[in-house]
Amino acid sequence: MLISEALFWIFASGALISGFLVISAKNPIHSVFFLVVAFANASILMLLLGVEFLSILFLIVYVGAIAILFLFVVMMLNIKSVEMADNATRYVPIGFIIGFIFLVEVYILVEGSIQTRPSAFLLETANYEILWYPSSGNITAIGQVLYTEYYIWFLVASFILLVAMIGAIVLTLEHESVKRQDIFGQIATEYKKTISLNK
Amino acid sequence: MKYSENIYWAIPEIFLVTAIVALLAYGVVYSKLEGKYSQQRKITWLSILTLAFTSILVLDQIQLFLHLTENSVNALADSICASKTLATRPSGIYIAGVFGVDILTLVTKFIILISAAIILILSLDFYASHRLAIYEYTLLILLSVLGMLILVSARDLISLYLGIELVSLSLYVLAGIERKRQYSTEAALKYFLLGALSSGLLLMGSTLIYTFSGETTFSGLSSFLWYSHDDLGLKAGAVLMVVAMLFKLAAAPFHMWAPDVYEGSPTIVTAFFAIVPKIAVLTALITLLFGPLLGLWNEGLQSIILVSACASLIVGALGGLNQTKLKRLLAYSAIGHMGFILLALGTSTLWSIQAVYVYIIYYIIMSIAGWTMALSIFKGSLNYIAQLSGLSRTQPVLAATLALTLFSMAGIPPLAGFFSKYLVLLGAIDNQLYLVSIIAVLASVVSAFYYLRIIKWMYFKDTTDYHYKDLVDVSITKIEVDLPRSLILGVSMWFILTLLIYPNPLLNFIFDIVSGFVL
Repeated sequence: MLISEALFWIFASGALISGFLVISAKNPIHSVFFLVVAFANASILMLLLGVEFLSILFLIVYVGAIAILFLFVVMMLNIKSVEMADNATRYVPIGFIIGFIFLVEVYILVEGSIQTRPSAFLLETANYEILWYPSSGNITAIGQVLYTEYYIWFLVASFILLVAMIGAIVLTLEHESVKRQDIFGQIATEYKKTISLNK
Repeated sequence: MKYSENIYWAIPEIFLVTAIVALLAYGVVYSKLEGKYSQQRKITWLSILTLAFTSILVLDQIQLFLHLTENSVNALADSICASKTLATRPSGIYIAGVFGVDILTLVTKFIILISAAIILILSLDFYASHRLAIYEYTLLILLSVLGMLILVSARDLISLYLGIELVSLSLYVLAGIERKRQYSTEAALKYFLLGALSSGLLLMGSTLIYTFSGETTFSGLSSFLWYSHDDLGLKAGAVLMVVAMLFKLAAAPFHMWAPDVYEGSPTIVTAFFAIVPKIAVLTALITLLFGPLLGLWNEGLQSIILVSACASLIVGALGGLNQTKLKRLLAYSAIGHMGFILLALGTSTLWSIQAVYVYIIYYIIMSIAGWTMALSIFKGSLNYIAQLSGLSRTQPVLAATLALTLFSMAGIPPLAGFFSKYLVLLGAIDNQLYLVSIIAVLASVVSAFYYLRIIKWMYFKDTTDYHYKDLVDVSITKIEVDLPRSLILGVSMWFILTLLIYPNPLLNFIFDIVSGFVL
C-alpha cells in the first residue's frame, strides 16, 4: 500500500514537472522529449490504477505514433529554437482566471457526490475477468468481450480507419507525377533503338 | 444479449459495406487501365446503383416494420379486450443491443439514400470538369452515407460517437478533395479542426453522462435520467452533447465554420454538405433528445434549442445581406433554415416534430433545385451573384426556375417553402412561444431581401451591368443542362410548385412515422 502510494506521488509529480517543461523548454526537440516523458508517466499512473490495456494503448498511440510524428515535423521544419518574442508573463492573469473558473467548476461537480455505476460493457468485462480468466488481467477480458458481444463497434471502427487511409491517399498521392521504374521497358529496350535522331 | 440479435435489420448496411469494399477493389484494379475520366464515370454509376439497391432494401424493411407494428397494435387491442396484462407496443427493434431501428430511423435512411444518389447523379461530370482523376470521391460519399445510416440507428453513446466520426471524417476529406486549390485546403483544415473540437465536446458529454449514470445504452439512460435528473454532471454532459450536435448542424452560435467551408469546397461537395448530412444529424439529435435525454428536456435543454433557433434565425438573416457570392449566401440561408427547424424542435409537440420533418424534406427538395442550378450555371470556382445579371434574357427558363426556387426559400405563399414555415410558426404560436415566433417572422422578412436581390440581378439588370473589377470576362454566356440534371430540376420544381396544393399525403405519412416514434 505504502509503496504504491509512493509510486503514485513519484510518477504524478514526474508527469506534472515534465508537462511544465514541455511548454517552457526553448528547444522544440526538448519539448517533444518531455512530452514523451509526460506520456510515459501518465501511462505508468494508469498501470498503477490496474488498467493495463489503457496504459499500453496510451504508450503505443501517444509515444509510439503521435510524439514521433511531432518529432518528425519538428526536425523537418528545422526549427532550432523558438524565439520567445513576447514576455510569457502577460498570459498569467488570463490563464489564472480560466484555471480558477475551471477548478471551481470541477469542485462543484466533484463535491456533489459522484455516484458511478459500472456499465453493461464493464460488467461483462469484469464478468469474464473473474469467471473465465482470473489471472490474465483485463487485456484478455476486453478482447473476449470486444470481439464477441461488441463486435459491431469493432467493425465500425475498422471502417473509420479505412476512411482515414483513403483520405490520406486522396489528399497526398500525386497521380500524375508518380515516377516508377519501368523494369520491363528497360530490359526490353533494344540496343539499336536507344538513340534516335529527332529532326 | 445475443451477438447477432435481429441482424436482419442491418441488411442494408451490410449490403452497402460489401458494395463499398467491392467498388474500392474495382477502382484500385481498373483505374489505371482505361481512359482518365471514363473510369470515374463508371464507378459513379455503380455507386448510384448501390444506393438504389440499398434504398430498395430499406423500403422492404419499412414495409415489414409497419406490418410488425400493425400486428402488435392488434395484439395490444386483443390483450386489452381480453383484459390480460398489457403487451407493450415495440417502438423500436434493437440490433445486437447497441444499434436499433424504428420507423423514423428507417424513413430517414431512405431519404438519406435517395438524396445521396441524387448528389451522385449531379456529380457524373465532376471529374472531367474539375480535372480530377480521383475515383475515391465517390467512395468517400458512399462511406459517409454508411456513417449516416449508422448514426441514425445508434442506440448507444459509443455507437453514436462512431457514427458521427465516420460521417465527419469522410466529410473532412471531401472538403479538401480539390487539393490543388488553396480554398479547398483551407476549407478542409477549418472543417477538420472545428469538427474535431465538436467531436471532443461530444465525447466529453458522453463521458460525463456515463460517469454519473453508469449507462451508455439509450434505453438504460432514458429510464435512469427520467428519475434522477438533479445531478449537475448529467446536465453538463447533456448540454455538451447537444452543443456538439448543433455544431454538426451548423446552428447559430456554432456556425462559424459553415460559410468558409461552403465557399471553399468544390460546389458539388458543398451541395452534398447542404443536402444530405443535416437530416441524419437531426434524426440522431431527435432520437437523443426524446429518448435518453427526455428527463432533462425541461431542465435546460429546451431553452438551449430555442436560443440556438433564435440565434440561427438572426445570423441567417443578417449574415446573408452583404454577400456577393452565391455559395456563401446559400450557406447563410441554410443557417436560417436550420433556425426554423430548431424552432419547431424546441416547440416539442407531436405536431411540431411533424413540422421538423416536413420542413427538412421541403428544405432538401429546395436545396436540390437550388444547388443543381448553381452547379449548372457556374463553371469553375467563381460564383458571384453579379455574374447572373441578365440571365432572364439569355436563359429565360432557367432564370424562372431559379427565381421560383428562391421565392420558395424566402417563403412566398403559393410555393412549398411558405407551407413549411407556416407549419413551424403555427406550432410555435400554439405553444405560446410568441417572442421566438416574432423573431422568426422578422428574420424571414429580412432574409427575403437577399433572395430577392438575386432575382433583381437576373431580371432587372443588363448583361453588361455588373461592374466588379475582377469580373470583366466572366459573364455567363452558355449554359448547358444535361439530361439527368434537367430531370432532377424538373422533378424538384414539380414538388416546389405542387406541394402546397395537395400536401396531405406527405403530412399524413410524416405524422404517422413521427407518432410511431414518439408513442
